[in-house]
Amino acid sequence: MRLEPILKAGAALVLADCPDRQTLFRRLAELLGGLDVDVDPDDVVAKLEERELAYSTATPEGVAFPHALIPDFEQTLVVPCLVKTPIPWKDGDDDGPSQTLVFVMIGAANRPWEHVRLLARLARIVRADQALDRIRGASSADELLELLIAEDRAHG
Amino acid sequence: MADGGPDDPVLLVIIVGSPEVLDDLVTAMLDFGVGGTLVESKGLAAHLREEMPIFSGLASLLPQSTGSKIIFCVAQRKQAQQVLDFMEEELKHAQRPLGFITPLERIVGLRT
Repeated sequence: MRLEPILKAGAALVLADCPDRQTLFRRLAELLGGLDVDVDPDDVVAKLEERELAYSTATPEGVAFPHALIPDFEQTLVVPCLVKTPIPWKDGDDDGPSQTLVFVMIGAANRPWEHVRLLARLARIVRADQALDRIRGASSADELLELLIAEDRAHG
Repeated sequence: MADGGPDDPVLLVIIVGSPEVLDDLVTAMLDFGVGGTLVESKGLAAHLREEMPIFSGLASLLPQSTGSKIIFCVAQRKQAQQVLDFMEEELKHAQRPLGFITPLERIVGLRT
């Protein structure tokens, strides 16, 4: 499943720092509010947070894959977020791995298999040799999208 | 290789002897939209070693693989080819699973 058609111009974040996961999700809601997508940003954030509380999507590699399945949402959207200073991802005393690269996935609730394929594609992209170093080198949202498109094309 | 269109259904069988490649393989299969059934299995050498004492004296000569997994998939030919291409291009020879495609004449009960 190709990532390139799913990425959307302007739908990416590169931040110098971010204190926690909740702040990142709020920044995401602000970004979604300015995009032409038929979804309630607050609803997305609520579903992302609900998912994280049920089971964290953080990984030891510092790449998180929070996702929200929205009823009646007909699109699939990935918003990559790069934070230069690692974000403490979990709550309270649970000191799970900090995250620097976050792929927020928003999709249709009635097409969960599509979500699985997208997650598999993202996993292949970030597990490619040296890919994380290249992606983490992005200095702007546009550059982050360009780098991800290049990585996606490398997987055919 | 039998003739057939890229959308024709085929049976893809993959025998994975190196467990370390399983995650990458399954991830790639999901990326290509190929689902399937995974069965725990073991090679004949392991069976000889573990279940047939008469052969136990030869155990040191037999491959030491601890087990294998077999994946059965009904997929479109083009998807199955993608999986085999991935195995050929991205998995090391020594760890590469055995994979093959065979045409299917009739299918009942397939859920998509």
